[in-house]
Order: sequence, then structure tokens, then C-alpha cells
Amino acid sequence: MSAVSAASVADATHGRARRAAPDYQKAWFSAPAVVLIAAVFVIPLVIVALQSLYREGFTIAGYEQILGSTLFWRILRTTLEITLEASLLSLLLGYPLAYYIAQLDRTPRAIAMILVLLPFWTSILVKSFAFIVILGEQGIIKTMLRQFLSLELGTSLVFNRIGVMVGMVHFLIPFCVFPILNNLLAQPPELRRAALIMGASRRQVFFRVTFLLSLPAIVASAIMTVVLSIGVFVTPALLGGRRDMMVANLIDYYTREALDWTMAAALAVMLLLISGALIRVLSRVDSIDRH
Amino acid sequence: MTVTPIVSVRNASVVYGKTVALHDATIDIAKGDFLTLLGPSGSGKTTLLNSIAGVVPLSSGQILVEGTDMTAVPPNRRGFGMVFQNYALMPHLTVFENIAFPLRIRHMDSSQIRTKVMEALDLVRLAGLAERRPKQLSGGQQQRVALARAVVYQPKVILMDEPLGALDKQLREGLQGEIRHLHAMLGATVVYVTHDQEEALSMSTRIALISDARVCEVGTPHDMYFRPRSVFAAGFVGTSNLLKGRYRGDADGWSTVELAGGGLVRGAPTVGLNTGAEVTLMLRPEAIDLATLDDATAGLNLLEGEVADHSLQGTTWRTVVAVDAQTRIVVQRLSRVARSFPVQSRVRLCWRPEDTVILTH
Amino acid sequence: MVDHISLPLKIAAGLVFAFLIAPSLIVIPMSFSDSREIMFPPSGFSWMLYREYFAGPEWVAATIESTLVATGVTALSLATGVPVAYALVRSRLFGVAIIRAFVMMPMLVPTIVFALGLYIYFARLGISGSTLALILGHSVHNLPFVVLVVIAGLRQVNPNIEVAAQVLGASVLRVFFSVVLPMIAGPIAAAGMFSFLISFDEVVIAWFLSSPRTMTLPIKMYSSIQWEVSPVLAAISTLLTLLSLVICVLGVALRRPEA
Repeated sequence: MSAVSAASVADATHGRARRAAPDYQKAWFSAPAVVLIAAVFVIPLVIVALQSLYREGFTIAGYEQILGSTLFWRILRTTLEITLEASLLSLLLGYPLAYYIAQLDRTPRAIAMILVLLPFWTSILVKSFAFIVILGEQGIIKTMLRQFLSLELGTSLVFNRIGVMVGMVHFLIPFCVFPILNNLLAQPPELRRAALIMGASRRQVFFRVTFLLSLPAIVASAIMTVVLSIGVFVTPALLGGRRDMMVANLIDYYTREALDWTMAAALAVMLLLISGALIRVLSRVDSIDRH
Repeated sequence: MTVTPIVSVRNASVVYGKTVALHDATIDIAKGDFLTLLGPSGSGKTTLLNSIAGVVPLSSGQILVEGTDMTAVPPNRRGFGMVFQNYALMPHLTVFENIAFPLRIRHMDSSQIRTKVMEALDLVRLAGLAERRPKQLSGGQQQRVALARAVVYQPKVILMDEPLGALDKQLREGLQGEIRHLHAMLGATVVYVTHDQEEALSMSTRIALISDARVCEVGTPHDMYFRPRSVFAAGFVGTSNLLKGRYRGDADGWSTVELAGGGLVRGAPTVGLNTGAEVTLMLRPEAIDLATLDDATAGLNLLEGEVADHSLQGTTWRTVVAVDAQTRIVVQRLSRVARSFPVQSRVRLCWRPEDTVILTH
Repeated sequence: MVDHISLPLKIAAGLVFAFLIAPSLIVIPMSFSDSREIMFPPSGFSWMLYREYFAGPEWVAATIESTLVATGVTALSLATGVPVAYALVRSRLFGVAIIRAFVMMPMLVPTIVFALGLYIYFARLGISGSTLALILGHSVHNLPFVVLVVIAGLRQVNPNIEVAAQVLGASVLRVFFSVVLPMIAGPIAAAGMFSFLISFDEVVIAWFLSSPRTMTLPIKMYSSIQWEVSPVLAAISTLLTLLSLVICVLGVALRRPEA
């Protein structure tokens, strides 16, 4: 660094370099991260892309196989269904929670935040284990129904779609609450007061002011939940049944069981493209809304 | 013999994309100067200060320090000191360590540091607070720490960016005195940024008026107030009455101007004007006196009008006189000696020709 | 606040809260069960499951491996994340926006895709299954998170303090180490703890990169849930929940820089 400065002093005395710009020196601070991302993120992604086209030579067989397989289409359908349903459900549950927390005073709000942060920071495995205990045949819910209402539920609550949805929604809610809560807290309270004074009912104030202003945060949450759930791996594997396999589980299957890296890589590329497309669509919704 | 200015800014411009933050600024700062960069907010005065500091790079032009080109030298090698509006004290260091910071950078030994820091603390009358943290101090105290930190290593130039902007009026006046005192005692060179024209007038040896990214006028506070060279300067520094008119030639050693609303007025002789040229007259409110229609007013400029408003400001009476439908003139006279005029009374405005400044732009 | 909270909203919020914290709460009583059978309410009180965890060599080895990995990840993600956050907040160069997008990428790509890439890449490099591989993978995975927390901290710091230090004579490096770092020590500590916890709990990347020799705690738990649902999991889950709680409270407390 001192060499750099010495050089610029020399340049200065010759009147060549114009820029004393500390900005250039500060930009160098990004170097370690850029190197790390290039070496351990970009290269692996490129390798996935190349691998998807390689099986003892260049081939598009991987993609052909995928597109021609009914298993893939069924799993893709499951994945998209779970992604959309879980995202929607977590927004539906997360929004009122965020709205409630936003109305609280400082101290209760801090406590409420911790109640949302704790599940956010809890290991997905702890949660999966807990849900098996809660939802299982000998689990809390079924036992309680049996004991207090003498009710025997016909359907299982876990190792099927219900289990996956419970696990996913639980995992996603905090990701909806934080952006929406930030947005609600940043809205100037005068706006709502002004609307009330101008004669709007509380319901109108909510739908015509608060909710509209929070749309960008809803979109941001939706992007987050979609990205997170489309590649989800643990929840369907632990809380779902055989028919709730998602694309990530299929990638795992090809990588570690079938040892077909070309298929696994082609699937990964497809997953990346689909999630990229979904993000694009959602961010376009956001930009339309802002103009 | 010409003395090399300690800092000279030559044709300096700063451009961000399409925004010109500073355009072709040229200004010299002599040793011992207290130069104030005065201008409305967003005018480019802080950009000029920051480019002298080396924090903002120039797009073109040069900064010379004692004759050497320092344009590309980073801020830490320019040997300046700086004071900011929001103090910029390091929250993790004590007052002592904040002031010692520039000395430690310069590898001074610790006994010397101790002496210097204590001297500096005495200078700003904070000797007892050395071990406090900045957040335990009031705003005024924090700014005095920042002053001590900026002078402790005797920098060539001390740059101050609206240092009193965050303080209330009383504290501000107290600290104005302290900064002036520091400047005089240390013989320091100060470049001071403010948008407060009273502050600029009372503290500076010279004022550079900045407007619209340009240095538009440089002069002593006295010149800036009594002999501004532009309508902008006349309007920005102090209160003034500005009257439109046309130049009608010279007579008896005075320049004569015909006012837009009628009436001839004599002003300080102005060279290089063509007859018929549009000019603006500037009159300071305190240069004008009020008289009844039959008072003797020989040798003075005269205008008649009707009192539209008359109020006591404390030291002065402030009287607004309507000369015609468009023109209102503000007059300020010492309340202790001047007489009061009721609203709607007819009065005569009178002032000396030499107090009329004729401005062409 | 101006708005009053309607009863239906209170009930809805209460139910969602209950749903959110139920899993964390349920594991605690389970962990003190004196029976090997998983049932609720547990039949009696004992430390049996904790003893089983601390005495199980495989559990202990997995915990040590996870600690090792998470420590390395904390160091590497801070060493890269803090400087880049500084560059992103304080440099106004044109290229900075691109660097920002570049550094945030791992957050937008599904982890499974990235994990597969690492799996193939590290196999080629011959480091798959090593602790180093896990540390590298997790560090990249955590980097955007560290950067966001540190950026939020830096935004609270008055940039003129750094300008002042520079004009007073400190070089850019000196400003970074003796002015910036101390001022954002709190947010850095918070980012470090978060990074540790994320790595300690991470499953997908570890699933692809760990070998039997470097099995992390989450992977051991994953297999245990998948094959047997061992009751020891209740004890481990309670300990992990406790760890999460501590880090989450400390993190929230430290996130703001010294003002």
C-alpha cells in the first residue's frame, strides 16, 4: 500500500496522475472476496454447466434424457407446486405477524423479534426432528386428539405433503416477516394518520395506504421464499414421503446413488434456469409496481 | 517580491458524471489567511474544501501546496488538519487518544505526545476531560476536541467544514470567538466553509463567495459588504436593497442612474459603462436615513415614498418604504437615536451617493 | 402507535408465534426423557440422553468436526467479507456495483446447485471430503450474509471519521485497521457468530462435501433422523436450540456499532 502511495507522489510531482482518489485504494479491499467467489463459486458453477454437456465427450444426452423422462416432469411439478404453495402460505401467515409486530412498543417488539429470530436460527434438523415428534403417529397432535377427543385421524400428518408443507412454511415465515416488518416500520405514521383524518376507515387505511406501500417488501419476500424453497433438499427428504421428492433430491440421487454426474449437472442447470426465470418474473412485478 | 501562497487552487473542476460540482476554481491562500468559502448549500464550497484536502479527486486542474503540485497526493500526505460539522471523533478512543491520533501516526514518542496533547487540551479549555469518551461530551466540547486534534500537530493548513453548523446559536458564537482566537494565537492558516454570511464576515480575513459550482468573488469581508462586485454577492452577504435602473452618464464626479420607477440617483463612479446600460443599484438598509418632506437634505440622493411597515427590532427600527407599486426599500436606523414614523406617513429616503453601489451583473 | 390492534389480528399473530416456537420448545422436555421411546409427554426425568450424546464417540467426533469447520469458516468469511463490505460502502467507483452483485450471487443460487458444483470441482482437485473443502464451501455460502451484516454496521458509522483520520495523516490501510475495525467491532462479532452458526447447522453443502472421516454434526443428525430417529436427537436439539438462542440474542445486541 505504501508503495502505491509513493508511486502516486512521484506521479504527482511529474504532474501526470490526477487522482489522489482514496476510492481506488478502497476498492482493493474487495480483492480477497472476489478471489474467493471466483475460485470457489464461479468455477464450480461453470463446471456444473460443462459437466451437464459432457459424458465421454460433448453431448446433450443429459438434457434429452431429462426432458424425455416422466419422472422429471412429475418431480418438477411437485417442486413448483410445493414452492408456490409454501411461498404463498408463508406470506399469508407472515404478513399479519409482521403487521402485528410493527404495532408493538419497543420492548414487546424486541421480544417478538427474538421469537421470530429463534426459529430462523434453529437448525433445520432440529426443526425436522421436532416436527416428526409433533406430527408422527405417536406424536403430540395425534396423541392429544386420541386422549381428549377420542378421535383417530385417518390421514398421516408427516412423511407426506402435509409434513413437507408444515416444515417449509415454518422455515420460510421468518424470511417473510423481516422484509415486511422493515417496510412497515419505515412507513411514516403520518401517512396513516392523515388518511384517518381525511375520513378513511381503518380497513381503507390498511388496503389503500399500508398494504400498497408494502408491496415491494412482499415481492422481495416472495423472491426470497421462491429461491429458498425451489432448491430445498432436507425438508422433503425428512418430512415428505416418496412422492414428495423435489428436484434437489433428484440431483442428489443422480450424484450419489446413480453416479451419473451428467444428469445431475443437467438437472442443476435446469433448476438454476427455472429459479432465475421466477426471480426475473417476480422482480418485474416489483418494477411495474414502482412506476 | 511575491510570496508563494501556501495553497493555490488552479482551474480546479470536479465532475461526477453529468453533474459539475466545481467549475474552474482558481484561488490562492496565503500563510496566516483565514479564508472562508461562503455560499448557499449545494454551491460547491464543500467540494472545493474536500478537493483541497485530497478527499475528492479533481477532474481537471491542480492543487499546489507551497508551489509543489499535490493534485495526486493522498490526503494523509498533504499535512493538513480538518474539522467537520459532525465532529468526526473516533468513538472507540478517549479524548486524549483522539487528539494523540495524528501524533501517533507520526511516530512521536509518548512523553512528547503527552505534553502536546495536554497543551492542546489546555488551549481548548478541556484539560480535565482527557479520559472521557466522545459520547460523554456535549456537542460544543466535542467540537473543541476536534479543534485540538486538528491543531496539535501544527498542520500547514486547517480545513473546517461548517464546524459550528450543528451547534445552537449561543454555543456557536462562543466557539466563533475561540476559533478566531486559535487562529490569531497559532498564526495558523484556516480554510473555513460556511453558509452563514454573518459568521463569514465576523471571522475571516478573506471571503470567497461560491455559487453554482464557481468561485464568483473573492475579497475582504469589508469589501464584500461595502463594495460587492456582483448582484449575487450584494444579495447573499448582508441584507440589501436592489433597484433596477439605466446608466445615464457621469456628472460632478458621480455616476447617474435613472431608476426603473423614475427618479435620478447618483452613485459611486463606475468605469466602463455605456450610456443606457442596465444596472442594479445596491443600498444597505443602514446607509439610508428617513426624513420628513421638509427636512434639509442637501447633497444626498432622495426618493419619496410611503411607510408600509415599521417595527422595532431591538437595536434598530426596521422601516419598509413603498416607493412605487413595485419597489419597496428596507431601512434600518438605530432605535436609540432615530425617530419613529407611523405607517402610511409620507417620507423621504436619503443617502449619500458614495453608499450607492452600481452593479452590472 | 396510532393503530390499535384488533382481536382477530392478535389471535392470528398468537397462533403463528406458537407455530414458530413450538419445535424449539418441544425438544426441551423430550431431552430429559428416561425412556428410549419417543413420546410426549416424556415418561420421567433423567439425564440419560445427554449422557448418551457426550459418551457417543461418533456424536462427539461429529461435534468436534463441526466446530472445527465453523471456526475456519468464521475466520475466512470475516477475513474476506469485512474488507469487501468496506469497499462496497466507502468506494464510489463505478465497478463497485458489479462487485456487489458478484459477492451477493451465492444468495441467489439454490444451494444444491452450488453444492453439486463444489462436489465435482473438489473431486477433480482431490480435496473432496476434507475439512478444507467444507470450510471453503461454507465460507462462500456465508459470505453474502457476513457482508450484509457488516454493511449495515458500516452505514451507521460517520464516514467523516475516516476522512478525518486520513487528513490527520493515516494511510488507507491504517484507517481501516485502527479506525474502521474498532468502530464496527460489534457488527463484526455479530457477523462472525452468525457465520459460525450457519456453518455449524448447514446440511446441503456438508452432505455433498463431507466424508465419513469429516462427518459434521448436521450430517450425523440427518442420517440419524432418516434411519432411526434416535432419541439422542432430543438432547442434541436442545443444546443446538440453546446455542441458537445465545447467538441470536448476542447478535442482536452487538449488531449496532459504537456511536
